[in-house]
Amino acid sequence: KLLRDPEIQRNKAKYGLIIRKVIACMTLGMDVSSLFGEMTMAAATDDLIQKKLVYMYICRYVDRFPDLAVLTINTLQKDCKDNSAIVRSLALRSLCSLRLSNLIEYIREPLLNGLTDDNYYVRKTAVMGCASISQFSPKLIKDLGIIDKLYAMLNDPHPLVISNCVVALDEIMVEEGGIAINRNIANYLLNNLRHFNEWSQCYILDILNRYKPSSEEEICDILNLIDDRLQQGNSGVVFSAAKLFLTLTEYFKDIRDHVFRRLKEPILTVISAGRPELAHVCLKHIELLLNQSPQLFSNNCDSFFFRYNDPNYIKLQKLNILRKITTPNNANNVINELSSYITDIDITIAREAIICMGQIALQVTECCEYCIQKLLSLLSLEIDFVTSHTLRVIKDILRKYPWLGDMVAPEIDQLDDISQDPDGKCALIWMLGELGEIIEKSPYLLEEIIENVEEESSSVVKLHLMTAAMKLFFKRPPECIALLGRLLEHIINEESDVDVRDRGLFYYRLLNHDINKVT
Amino acid sequence: MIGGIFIYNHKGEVLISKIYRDDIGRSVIDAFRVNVIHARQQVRKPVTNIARTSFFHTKRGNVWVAAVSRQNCNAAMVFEMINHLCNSFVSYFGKINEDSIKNNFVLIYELLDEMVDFGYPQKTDVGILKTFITQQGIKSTTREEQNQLTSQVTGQIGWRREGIKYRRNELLLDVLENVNLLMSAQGQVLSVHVSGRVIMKSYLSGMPECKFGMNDKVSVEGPAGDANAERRKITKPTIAIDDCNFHQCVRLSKYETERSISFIPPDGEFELMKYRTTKDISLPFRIIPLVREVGRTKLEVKVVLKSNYKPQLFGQKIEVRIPTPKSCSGVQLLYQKGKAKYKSSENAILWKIKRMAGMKESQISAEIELLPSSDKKKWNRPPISMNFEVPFACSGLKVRYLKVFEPKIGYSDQDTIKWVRYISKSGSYETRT
Repeated sequence: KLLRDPEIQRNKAKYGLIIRKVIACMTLGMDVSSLFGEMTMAAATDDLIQKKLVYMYICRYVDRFPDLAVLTINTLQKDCKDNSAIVRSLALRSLCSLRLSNLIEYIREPLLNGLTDDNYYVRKTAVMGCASISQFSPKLIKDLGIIDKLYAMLNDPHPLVISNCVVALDEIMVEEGGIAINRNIANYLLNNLRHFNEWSQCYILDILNRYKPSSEEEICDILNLIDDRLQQGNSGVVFSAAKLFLTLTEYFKDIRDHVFRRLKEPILTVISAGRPELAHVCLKHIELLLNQSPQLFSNNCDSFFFRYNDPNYIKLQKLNILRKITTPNNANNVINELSSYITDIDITIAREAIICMGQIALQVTECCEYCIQKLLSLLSLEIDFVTSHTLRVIKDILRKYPWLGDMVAPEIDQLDDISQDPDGKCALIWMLGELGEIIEKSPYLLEEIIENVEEESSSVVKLHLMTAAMKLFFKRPPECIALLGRLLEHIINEESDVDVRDRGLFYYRLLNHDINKVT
Repeated sequence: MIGGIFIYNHKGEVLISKIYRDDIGRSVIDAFRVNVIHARQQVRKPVTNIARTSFFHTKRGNVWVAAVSRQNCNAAMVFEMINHLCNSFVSYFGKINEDSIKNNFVLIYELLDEMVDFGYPQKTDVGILKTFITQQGIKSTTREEQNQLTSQVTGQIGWRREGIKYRRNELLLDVLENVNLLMSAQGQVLSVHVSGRVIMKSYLSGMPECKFGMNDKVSVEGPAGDANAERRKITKPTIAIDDCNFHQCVRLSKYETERSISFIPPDGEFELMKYRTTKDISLPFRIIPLVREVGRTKLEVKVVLKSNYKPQLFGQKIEVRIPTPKSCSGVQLLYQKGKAKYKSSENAILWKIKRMAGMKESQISAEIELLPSSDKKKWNRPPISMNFEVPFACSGLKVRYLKVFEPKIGYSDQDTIKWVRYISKSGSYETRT
């Protein structure tokens, strides 16, 4: 890093190259602060790019060299009076980012000059500079009466200056809750909204959230003015406008419904047209909207069907939303769609899709039969985790709609492969117990499981097993008596888990006490 | 607002770092690297919150671009900003990868300086930026030139500078559409939508006013209650656009009142409008699949491809992808047009046809031999997907007129050369079997 030794290089090109090397090192995180002295001398140059790089360096390291910093002030002040607007604003911006208290005094004059400069470019930088300084030294701002000046500059001819003023005032007056918007300012900004560039529109719409209109008529006027913002290509503007719509109509229920419907289309467009990050943001917003207006997107469920290259997080969000917007009308479509997601490469998505189907069946009673049909067809795929989750979901559905047991029974009959994870087994066992009388093979299936009970490690499964065995016993005593006996014997004698053994003992004593009463 | 913007390479090393606000320290750089770049999951969400700081990121090529903020800022705006940034990089130096970033870091710092001030995006129009930030560096210029560069006329038109001159005044319009279709096995359309963009390349002198008209249902029939609408409906076909978005140069107030799109275009290429339609879409291709299982060892698949547009037009780069089960041992294909190949690595049959005229039919039949397997796993059939490019707009959008007025220089509308091109590409075009 002592590359700067040959600094007397009159060769401008080489000089420039070395400066660039220094900056490259700085970016990589290396500490190049020891070169501060030499770099400040490099600031006096005609090459604009070199100047920019040097100033960037200075701003970064100035707090370590408060004494040397005074050297730079000279150059900066000279540049603030330069002929070129670009140089002036560059110098001004750098001045305002210097965070040293002994330099504050030098900033006064250039800043004030900048605010009244001829060229809009310098003015806009000066305004932002005020905001920047106010973070560091609010006193200076007060002394110079900046706030009043900025308010006056809201009438500036150039829109970028105006929007910077609005933003700067907001930052400076942060303790008082930001810029105070009265009716005049609000009207002025709203009427000229289309003259601002797209980013300025975002900030201004955000700040207008604070304005409290005095009558319903005024609200409608404002809504009409910002309505066309929803057609803007920049989705930041669309969302800012949407937020403003919602804030203004917070207390007016009847307009609110119109508002929601108006917002629907632009938001849907953003999902399909933009990049996945924007789609993600959009879907999050939709979830929030759905909290307030659950029926809003019910007709648009096909917008939330997966696209083939959606990333995972988008798919999960879409599933979430599909779950919320299903109504009796579109339930069948949605369920069809979901069943095709089961074969997705990603296990998480497939699992969530199954769970989603179950929840839809629980919410929307009309489609529960269709859902059960679909779920049962999944069992025939014989993919491990699919079967497990499907059984769990079917069990939940049966709890709510017991009459569907008839549909389920034949499939369970044909189920041969029982080895799954504990939760799946529990579900299966529960169903065997509940529907014992309809499922032909239930005692035999149960018997299979009981034979392996010594190897079964999960206590939940054993608890379920006992309950199911009991239920089955009461429904079909002759077939079950042997297996019940075997089960209880194993549990009471050899089981280590206290919970399970307690339950076993309880059942045993119950049966012993009086079989007839228990039935 | 945006506290800082950082660019990392795929290893997590910082290539560019620019901090705008005081509340962001250098520790956020490491925080992002540890929590996002080196995180274990494959795909991370684009927004992460770590210790009250929000990180917004996107990955382009092998480079991570991240924006950081400590305040509750507009997430959509931040992502749009990152998009603009990346687009401007591409516009200046082509692809975004680690090398191009390292080679152009000075330029990137300049751009970051210019586009965002104190965390607030200012001006991001690439056309304007190119006038005063160039890769060769700026030579210091005289006062007049500087003034001209930095004062954008009245300030109202921040996207076009004065004094542009071309020998030939030309206007090219590209209507690019993405058709997305999901069709059920029974031939019923489950979901279909077209998302389209109108891209305009303008090489016009001066400050021309342009007016653009299309066959949007509302603009042709006029606002509700128009008595002539009944008569007009029969003569010209119109399309119903669900929603559309315009570039910031379009005067939206005129669109509301007169339904006309009038604007002063930026120089060069820009996206005029984005739109979406879901009704009355003419699907260019229809796939009719037939799958038959013969015993346990063979699968017979026949796919008929019908093209549904005017015979004079040709569809290009047509590719049909028929998925096959994993236990497939061999495939025999019979087809007349194009080339078909079985790709075992992708478990699919790819049928490629270079060009296909409209109202034609073509079919492919495949006999898929399966390995005899003891488990009775049924193959859940993934849908057949298609890729194509056709030279018309599937939504039915037609450019009705495009008029140019330039009062000052005074070349007339007839003098400008105009081209319109319609291209529809397939987005996600799937038919279930």
